[in-house]
Amino acid sequence: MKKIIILLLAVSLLLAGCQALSNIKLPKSLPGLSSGEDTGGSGSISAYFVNPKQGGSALKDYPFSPVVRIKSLGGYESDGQVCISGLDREIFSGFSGCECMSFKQEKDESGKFEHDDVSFGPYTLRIKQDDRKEHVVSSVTRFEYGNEIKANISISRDAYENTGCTASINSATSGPLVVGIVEQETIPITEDIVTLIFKIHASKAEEGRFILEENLNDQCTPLSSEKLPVIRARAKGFPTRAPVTCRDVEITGNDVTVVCEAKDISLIDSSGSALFGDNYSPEVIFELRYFFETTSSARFTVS
Amino acid sequence: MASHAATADEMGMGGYSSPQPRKKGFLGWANKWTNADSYAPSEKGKKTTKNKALWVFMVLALFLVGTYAYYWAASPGGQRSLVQAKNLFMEYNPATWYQKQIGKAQDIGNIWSSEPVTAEKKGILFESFKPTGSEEIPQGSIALFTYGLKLSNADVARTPLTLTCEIKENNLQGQILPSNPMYVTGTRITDNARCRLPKEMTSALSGTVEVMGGVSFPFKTEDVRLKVYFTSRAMEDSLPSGEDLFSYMHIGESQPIRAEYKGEPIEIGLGVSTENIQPVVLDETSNPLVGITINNRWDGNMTKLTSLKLVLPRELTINQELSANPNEICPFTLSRQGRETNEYKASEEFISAFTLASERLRSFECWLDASPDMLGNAPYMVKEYKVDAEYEYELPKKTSTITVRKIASAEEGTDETGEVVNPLI
Repeated sequence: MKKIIILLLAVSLLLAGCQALSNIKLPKSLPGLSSGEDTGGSGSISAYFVNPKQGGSALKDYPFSPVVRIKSLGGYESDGQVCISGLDREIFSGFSGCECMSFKQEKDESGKFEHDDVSFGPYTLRIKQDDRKEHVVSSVTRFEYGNEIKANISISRDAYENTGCTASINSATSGPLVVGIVEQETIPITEDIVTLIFKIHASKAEEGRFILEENLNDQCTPLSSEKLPVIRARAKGFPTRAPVTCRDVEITGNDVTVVCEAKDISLIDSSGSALFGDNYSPEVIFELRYFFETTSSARFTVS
Repeated sequence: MASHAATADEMGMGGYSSPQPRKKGFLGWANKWTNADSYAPSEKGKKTTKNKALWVFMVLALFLVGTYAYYWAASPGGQRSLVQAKNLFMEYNPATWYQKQIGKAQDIGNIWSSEPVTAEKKGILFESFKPTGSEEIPQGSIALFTYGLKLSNADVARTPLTLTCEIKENNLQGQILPSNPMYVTGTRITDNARCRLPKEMTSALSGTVEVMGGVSFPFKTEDVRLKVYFTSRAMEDSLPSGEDLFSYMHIGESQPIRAEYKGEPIEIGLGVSTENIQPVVLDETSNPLVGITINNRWDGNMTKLTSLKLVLPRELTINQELSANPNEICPFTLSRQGRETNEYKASEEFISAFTLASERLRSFECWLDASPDMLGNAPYMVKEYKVDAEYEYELPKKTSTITVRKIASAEEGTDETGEVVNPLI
């Protein structure tokens, strides 16, 4: 009997412990780490053929109009152009070999994006009985895109005692780049002046490649590979008049670090009083901007 | 003691050994039989006896089997089976196989293949050649053989099937029914093809007779198409490192891109280079290539290549200077210039004597000129090479055996060798 009572007590204690654990509220995010919330969707510009569909067909006696469906899946209002190629000019009469159309993705009143169907042609299909049946059409979509990172930065009233003064991300929109972490470093210049360094770490998360801004409107010509594409960044809403400058970053791999610098921030006003409290942590918006290219193809038959 | 036991073995006494010294002479032997416990058989003795029994049994079994085989081989049915077995062995003769391998070793150079899209054969199948009715006939009676023919996976328009039927021993030709050539139209062979050995022919035959049936027919391997991607040198050079046109454009193609093989007797493979890797990069320093391999995929022989046609896109022409054509490597001459295509035909001079044994192949290749405005402003373009071939194909001959029995009169009851025979009529 004793044993049963002991066993029951042990089980009760175990259950109670589990209940207590479930009531513990873990922090939503760790300092400097992306919370994953409010990313404004996931992905960047989605561009794919809705006509013809992959593995679909086109009818030979009907006008043929390829359609590329464009939609911004991230949070950035984007514009760019989509070019199609691959169709045989001898068969798709009226097709020049490469044709381009521009598009613009803007949020509607509810703050969401509607897809945009970019239509080409129509082309006349000059198919004889003996002609081939399988064809390929490809699209190259080039566009501007960006990420918006809302982060709380930290300014300490003591230039030398700033341990624990870090930045943390509140929200970040997604795109071809995904922002992982924002680091802050406080460098005391004098006892009343500091310089803040912010390092935004991001990595490429989409298929496609970064392009130069000058290549955005290139129509079907091969892209120059001599220069490296760059990411431009800026900071908005910084609480002091100190200029915040962000360096352009050349993209050489999948991981990038954008560095922004708020130079010579005075911690006191003209009367010598401290400008900031002990836990001053204002929200700053960092904006990354770059140009990107994606491709897609559809194989289809003509019958 | 040991020598005594050995002596017993030598005497063939079953290897009995004695635990005690044995007395020589009658009393000693009598003692053996009266004292059984003292003479238990040894392991060695037991084994020897078993071996001897087995040996006797095997000799007996061989004698029985041999006797049966002798009479079976002497019987008409046995003789037919032996002839059939001999013919089968000839097919798998190592010497024949080796000769074939030597032939294949000579098929050097670029080889292009196509992608099989079906495991089924496409064409005329010669499945059997069998006597109609009994396999034993009396001299002077008509012998009939049926061709087991099937049209597989094909729809043909009035195709003449040439049938042969020949007595192996004396090369006498049988009569083909209902006609020779026999015409086949549509998707099935409806006529019952037969070979008839008339009375006059069988009167001169006796014993086991081998009759060979053969089928040959004209056929086409047509509409063989290779999708060819062309791109410019500038585009190729601008691709990100580690990517090719297909990965960059997300075009789901696996290399090498091949034409389709639909099961015809002759497979046609098409290619764009030795490595056959696409896309074809157009630049001023090199010329595109079209490669064609004709491969005999069935067991028969291609006895004649009647026609070989190559259709290229309008923007591509054969470079006669580089290809030095027409010749045996590039036998094509321009036959028709369409609005969208250039059609070339192989010159008869170079293909009329062209035959191909089973599993042998032959390649042709021509250098091409591409029109400078072929790509225009397109980063890439997809075109197509197309080949049609017409040929005569002879399927492997099939042999059938019958026994022609000499007729003995009721009075005689013996044949010319004096053997007793049963009158058949």
